[in-house]
Amino acid sequence: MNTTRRIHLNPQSKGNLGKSFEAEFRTAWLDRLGIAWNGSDLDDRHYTFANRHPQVVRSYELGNGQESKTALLSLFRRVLKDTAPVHIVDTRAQADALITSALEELQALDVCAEQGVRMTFLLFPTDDTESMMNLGRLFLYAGDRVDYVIVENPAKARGDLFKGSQLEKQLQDFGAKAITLPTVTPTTLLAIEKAEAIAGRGLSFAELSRVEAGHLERLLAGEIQWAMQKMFRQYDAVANLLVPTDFIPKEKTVAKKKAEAQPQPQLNYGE
Amino acid sequence: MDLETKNGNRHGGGRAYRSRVEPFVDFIRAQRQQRKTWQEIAEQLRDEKNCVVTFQGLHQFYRRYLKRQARPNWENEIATPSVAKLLTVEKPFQPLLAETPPARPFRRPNPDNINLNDPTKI
Repeated sequence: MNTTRRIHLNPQSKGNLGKSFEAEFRTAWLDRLGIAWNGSDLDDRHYTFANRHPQVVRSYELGNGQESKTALLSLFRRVLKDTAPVHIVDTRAQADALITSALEELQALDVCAEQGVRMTFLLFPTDDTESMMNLGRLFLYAGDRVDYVIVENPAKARGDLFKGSQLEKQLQDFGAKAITLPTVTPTTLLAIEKAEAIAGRGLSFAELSRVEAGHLERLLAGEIQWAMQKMFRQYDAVANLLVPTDFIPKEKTVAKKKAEAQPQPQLNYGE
Repeated sequence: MDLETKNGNRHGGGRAYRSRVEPFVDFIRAQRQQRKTWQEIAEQLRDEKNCVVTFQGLHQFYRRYLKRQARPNWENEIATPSVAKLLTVEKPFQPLLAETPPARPFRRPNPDNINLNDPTKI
């Protein structure tokens, strides 16, 4: 079936996995491709995603139990009426059970499928057994009704529980593909926080990567640019899982480096 | 006419009058379509249906009957229909059944095959 729209969801329970960090690169990649997107921020403790993209991201108070179902119903109704090809949902920690039960009770996956909307779950392997069990439960629940992108974050987890496991093989069997987050230095991450405090608002990574904007020193902005490039190449490789069929880019966002001429000292011995 | 009516005390009610010719309306219609006179039909009713009626009475009844047909609120049927009639004529009530989520098959991973690496052997 032709997918006309995509919803990206990172429904895992554990916090501090780099979910919002990764979403910044993804939104920048979509902007670079010219693919319209909007989003929903369910992290009612931080609203980082909404603060960084106030024009296109709406905040929701997820709450607990019944309130969360109401919030998710409102979200899905809006998304299904929307025309943007991609919708990105950034969730908070400990929300996996609320999200799964709301998806089940609202038959959201079936309704989406009927309308040509397909979900992509972004899964973050960790070294925490409980979190990984949670990942397995999400996989069991959704099966092949959604697509999976595995986001490895070496700065947060070594991935010993996951790498080479049966779970990884099964996910790959279901078409999952993996990407790896770049490790950004704590210096740059702290500088980002400081820049946001000075600006009095959230700053997207795209803004931070622009040297002329002056939010970060040249070296630190350069690190963000390097991270962007690293992520863009990986997103290009898994584009079929992230964007609707008609929007899959034919050309890469970032051209591969051409092999540069290497110095050939043996030819210079005569000089 | 009952005793109360004779005494001038009209209380109304009671079972509505029904002519004894009423069950033979179809027969009468058929005879009239065959150009039979009222006299002939009255004789046939007496001989074949054992229903004694004068030809004037028969004629008056049929005129009244045709007039009644033009009145939509006229109750032709007896007010206590039989159980058999209820069962055959009226459709039984069929409640609208509630829908539950349809079972849409999809491929799930085998729960036995999604194990993690053994943390004690890492």
